Amino acid sequence: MKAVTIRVFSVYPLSREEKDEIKKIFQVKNEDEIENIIDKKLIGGLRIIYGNRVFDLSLKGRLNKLKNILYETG
Amino acid sequence: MEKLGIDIKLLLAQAINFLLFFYLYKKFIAKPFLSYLKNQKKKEEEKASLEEEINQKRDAWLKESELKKKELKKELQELRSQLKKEAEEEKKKILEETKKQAEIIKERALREVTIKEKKLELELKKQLIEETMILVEKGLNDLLPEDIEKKLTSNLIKNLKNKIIN
Repeated sequence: MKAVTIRVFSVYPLSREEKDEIKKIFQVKNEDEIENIIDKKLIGGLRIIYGNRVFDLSLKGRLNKLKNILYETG
Repeated sequence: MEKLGIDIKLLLAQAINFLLFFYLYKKFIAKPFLSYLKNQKKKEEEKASLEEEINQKRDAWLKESELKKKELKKELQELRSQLKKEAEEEKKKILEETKKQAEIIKERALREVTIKEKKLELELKKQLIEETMILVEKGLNDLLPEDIEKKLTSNLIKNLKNKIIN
């Protein structure tokens, strides 16, 4: 059994097409290498962990960034 | 003489008697008495002289004492005046020092108040941001329809390649 290389966090389960799209982008062929984890706290969007890299494309992440900017400017 | 009734012998005896009496009186009574009187007078004079001397000395002492008293009074007055002046200067110095200290304390207090105000303002902003974010999150969680969420995710996946490259 091959280890999971991509972890995709989303608010609802991803469709096959969406998973395929992600696999294509990250050049992953095997279905077992992608894992979809449901996380309602993200509010919307995605959070992808690929190896030691994290791509935060969630609304929660955006809001956190906005919060940090407000703190810095405040 | 006999016709006159004067007895020469008696007269002579009386004369001798008188002379003897006079001689004894002079030698044993009058002389010591006069000597005693003389001594007394001398003592009185010495006493008077001594008294005079004492009086003079007393007057001189009183005069000197009065003079010294006046000098002392003057010195005391000068000393008092000097002390008063020094006390005034000291008072002025203390007042100035106190004013300076008060100014320093005031400035420090103002600085502290300003720092506290800034800290409080920052704390309030932080709280405001935190609460706003909670409200926004809650609002988005409650109001964002599922189809829009899905559409957003779908769009994100479509643009994922560009985002990863960037």
